[in-house]
Amino acid sequence: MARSGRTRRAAHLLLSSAGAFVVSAGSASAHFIDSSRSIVENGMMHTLGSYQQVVPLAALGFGLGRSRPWLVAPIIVLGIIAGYFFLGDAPFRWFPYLEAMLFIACGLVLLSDALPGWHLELPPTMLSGLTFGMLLLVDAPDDPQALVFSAFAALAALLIVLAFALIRYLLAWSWISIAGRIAGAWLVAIGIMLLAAAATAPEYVDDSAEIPIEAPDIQQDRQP
Amino acid sequence: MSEDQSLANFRRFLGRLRWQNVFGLGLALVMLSASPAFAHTGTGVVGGFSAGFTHPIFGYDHLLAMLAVGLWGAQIGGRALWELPVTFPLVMAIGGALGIAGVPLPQVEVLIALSVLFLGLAIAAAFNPSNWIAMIAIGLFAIFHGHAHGAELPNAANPLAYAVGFVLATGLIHLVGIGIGLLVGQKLDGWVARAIGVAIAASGVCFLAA
Repeated sequence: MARSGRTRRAAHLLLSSAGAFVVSAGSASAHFIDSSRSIVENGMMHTLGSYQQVVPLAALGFGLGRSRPWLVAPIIVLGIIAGYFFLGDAPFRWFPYLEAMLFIACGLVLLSDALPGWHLELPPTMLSGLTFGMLLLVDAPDDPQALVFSAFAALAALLIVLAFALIRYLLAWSWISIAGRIAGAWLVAIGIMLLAAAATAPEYVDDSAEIPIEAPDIQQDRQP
Repeated sequence: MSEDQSLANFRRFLGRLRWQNVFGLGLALVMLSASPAFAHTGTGVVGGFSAGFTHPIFGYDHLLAMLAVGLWGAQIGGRALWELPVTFPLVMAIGGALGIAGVPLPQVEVLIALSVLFLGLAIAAAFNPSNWIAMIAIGLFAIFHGHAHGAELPNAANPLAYAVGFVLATGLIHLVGIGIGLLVGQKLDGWVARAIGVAIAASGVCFLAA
């Protein structure tokens, strides 16, 4: 697919900016709610500031729309909504599993490029959306504004997906599908390793509530 | 666009890589792998990205085997060019999961050394099996490579960064192998690639003897 020089330059600029953005995403800031920022900012930064989510979502965007983007894009949105509203009540200890599943699902979208039928792209795309929706719910703050927070976190995710889908569309490098398959295999491999790490990690036990109240003993000590 | 055309373009792209591109990529990776923890000696915890990234690179048996996978893929040509580098990390991750879970595998180090020997011999002989056979052979050895890496992961301070680093390094070594294969594959009727295969096989013998 031929593109004009100006379009190619714009695409290169977009790709460089997106690359710099992915590299600059940290891991620590994503799961903290900064009280100095609005709930909208917190929601957006929740996704944009975490490479655990930026990297698979970028891959999802890159793999998106092999042939029918108008069909695939709504499936992600549907998946997020279904994951958030219908597969809720996931306990926080599921978080590392969901994170690993996001890597696997997005990697499978890239890998599905090697499969013959375009429809084979749909199940991993749906799974990506579902996983992200569940991740949002697990990670949302426990207050009435949780829905706003999650909505803006989902919006940021869709922006990442669309930006990378646009980059792929504009560049249209002829070898990109092969590079995508290799990158997809890497993502799935990372996901499998994370799944294993999550399964074998010692479970975090919040024992702060188990500390016995020592007050009577203190009173006893004070007695003459 | 047909598969063959994509492959041809991919080969052309690799052939057109200039030293500036490679230098830029290398610099970016060095910057990514730098971590504050590295600057201070005496820290005993296996770290994140840099520990994972350097693990396959500084284990020469891993390095040679993964380089050989890329080189063999380029030598076989066609779909094998990408199928082998896709198979290896996927199966390696399963081996890694076994390592993380503490599932013991017999003679891991011996089989890793054998993989270097096998892949070296395959390149030296310009062995050109069907892609499925090559993928099964690669997958078999990848389990043991993954197991060796995975055993390290439970101690990592940041499992995600470790996994990203180690998968990325593995993939990049494959790409270097493919690049070498495409650059020298046709030189002197393929004898340069074969000579590299002999050197890799000889290293495998050394690893087995050690």
